Amino acid sequence: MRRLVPPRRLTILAVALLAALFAAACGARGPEPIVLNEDPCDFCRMTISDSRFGGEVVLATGRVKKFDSVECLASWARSAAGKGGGTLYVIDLQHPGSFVPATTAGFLKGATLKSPMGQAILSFADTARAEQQRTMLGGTVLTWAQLLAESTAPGTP
Amino acid sequence: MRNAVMRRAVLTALLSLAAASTARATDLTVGPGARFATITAALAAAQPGDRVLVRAGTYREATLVVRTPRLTVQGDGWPVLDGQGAREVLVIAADDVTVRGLVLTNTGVSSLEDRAGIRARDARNCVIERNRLRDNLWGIYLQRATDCIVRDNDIVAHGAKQTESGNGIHLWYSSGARVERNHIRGHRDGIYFEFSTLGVTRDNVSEQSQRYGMHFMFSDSCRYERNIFRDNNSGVAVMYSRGVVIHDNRFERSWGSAAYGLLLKDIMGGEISDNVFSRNSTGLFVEGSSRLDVRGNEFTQNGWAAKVLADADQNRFTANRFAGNAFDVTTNSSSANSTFDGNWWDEYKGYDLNRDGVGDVAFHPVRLFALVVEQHPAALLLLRSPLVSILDAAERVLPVLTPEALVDKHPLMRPPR
Repeated sequence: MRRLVPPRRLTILAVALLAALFAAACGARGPEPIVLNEDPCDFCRMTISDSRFGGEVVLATGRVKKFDSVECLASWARSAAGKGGGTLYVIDLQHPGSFVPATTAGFLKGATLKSPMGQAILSFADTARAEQQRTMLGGTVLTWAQLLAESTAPGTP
Repeated sequence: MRNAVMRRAVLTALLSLAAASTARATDLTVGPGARFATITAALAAAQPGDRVLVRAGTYREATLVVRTPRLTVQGDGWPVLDGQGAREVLVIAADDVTVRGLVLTNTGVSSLEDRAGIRARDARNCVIERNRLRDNLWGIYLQRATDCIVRDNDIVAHGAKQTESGNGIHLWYSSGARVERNHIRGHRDGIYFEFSTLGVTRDNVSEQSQRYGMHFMFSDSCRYERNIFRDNNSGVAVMYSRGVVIHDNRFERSWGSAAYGLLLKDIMGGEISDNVFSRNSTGLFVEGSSRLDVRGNEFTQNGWAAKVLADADQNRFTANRFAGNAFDVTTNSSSANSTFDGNWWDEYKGYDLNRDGVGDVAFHPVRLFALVVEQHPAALLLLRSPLVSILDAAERVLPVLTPEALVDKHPLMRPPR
C-alpha cells in the first residue's frame, strides 16, 4: 500500500504547523471585532449596539476588554484596573467597526451627534480628521491625553 | 352717554368674539382635489389652533416642520408620509401640537444623523397618538420636549436583521413625559429614557428589540408599570438613576450570556414590586444599587432568578415567589449585604410545626454550586450531577462558603397572594 504523504514531509508539515501555532499564540494581539448586540461593555455592562462608537483594551495577558463608548474606555483607563496598562484602541467613526490606537486618534467632544454614554464624544483616525469633521459636527478637538485629563464620570455632559 | 359707552363696549366684545371664532379651528384639508396639494403648503398657511387634515394618499415631501403652536396634524384614512430613504419625516417645533392618525415611514439609514419618523424638538405639551411608524431608523424622538404624551402608537423597525437601528421611542432631556399603550417591535431599544426625569411609562408592549426592550440612563424619579417586555435580545436595563418605581410589569424570554430580564446598575432607592420574571437567562440582575425594595415579584423558570452582586447593598427582598429556577439567588462574594426575608421558595424543604405559615428553619437560597459557577462558568456542565447535589446538601446543613446575610430566616410555607 502506498502512503499518501512521505513520512519526512509529514514531519516538516507538523513542525511548520507547530511553529505557526506558536507564532499565533505569541504574536502581538490586536483588537477583536465587537459582536453587536451580543458583547457587553466591560465598564457599564450595556450591550454594545452601535458600530460607530466603542473602544477596546488589549491587556498584557492578551485578554481583551470591550467598551461601548470612548466615555467608558476613559473611565476604565482612569480606574485602578486601568492604571495597570494595556494597549488602548478606539473606533474610527468614519469606518464603523474598525479600530485605531487611542494614543494617535483624534476626538470631538460636545459634537451634535450623541454617543452611547451621553457626552457626545466621537473618535476619528487622527486629530486632522477630527478637525475636518468639526465643521459639520461641532464640538472641540482633543487628543487622547487631553480627553483623559478632562472627561468626568459618565452622565455629566 | 353712559348708554353709548355700554353699547360700544358690547359691540367691541361681540366683534372680538367673532374674530376669535374665525381664527379658531379652521380645517386645512390636504390631498388630491383638496384645498392644499401638499402638507408643506398647508403647514405654511396654518394659524395657531388650526387643524391640518391629511387625506389618504402617499406624500413625498421635504421634512415637514410644524412651527405653529396649538396645531393639530391629523390623518384621515391613514395617509402615508414617506421619507424616501433620505430624510426625517416630521418635526414638531412648537408648543401644544398634536399629531395623530398618520403613517410615517422610510427615513433611511444614516451614520451621521439620527433620523426619526417624528421628532419633537424644544417643544412643550405635544401629543403624539395613534400613529403607525414603519421602517424608520428612529421611531419617535423627543428632544428637550417637556410634558409630552406619546400613546397608542404602533412602531415597527426596518429589516429584522439590520444592525444599524435607532430606538423606537427615544427621550433625551425630556421630562414629564407619558408613554402609554404603545407597541414597539424590532428597534435597537424599544423605549429609551436618557436624561429624562419624572416620566411615566405604562401599558406598553416592547418586543424583539435588538438590544433592550426598555432602557433608562440618568433618568431619576421615573415610574413604569403594566408593561410587557418579551423576546428582547438583552432584556431591560435601568441604569444610573434614582428613585425608580417598577411595578406590575412582565419581563419574559431574554436568553443569552449577557441577557437579563431586568438589569439594574447604579440605582439608588426604588421599588420593584409585583412584577413577573419568567424564562430569562437571569431574571433580575442587581449591581452597584442600594436601598431597593424588591417585593411581591414572581420569578419562574429562569436560569438564575436573581443575581445580586456584592457591591449592591441594603436591598430588601420580601414576599417574592421563586419557582422552577435553575438557581434562585447567586452573588459574587461571600460578603453580600442584601437581605431576604419572608419569601416563598419551591426548593424549601423545611417544616412548620407551629403552623404559623412560616418555616421553622431558615432557607439558604444561594447554592454552593451557584458560587462555583460564578467563578468557573464551565462548571455549569455538572448542574445535574449527583456530586453537586451532595455538595449543595452538605452546604445547606453546614453553611461555610455561602454568604451569611443571604439567608431567608422566615421562608413562607405557601406562595404569597
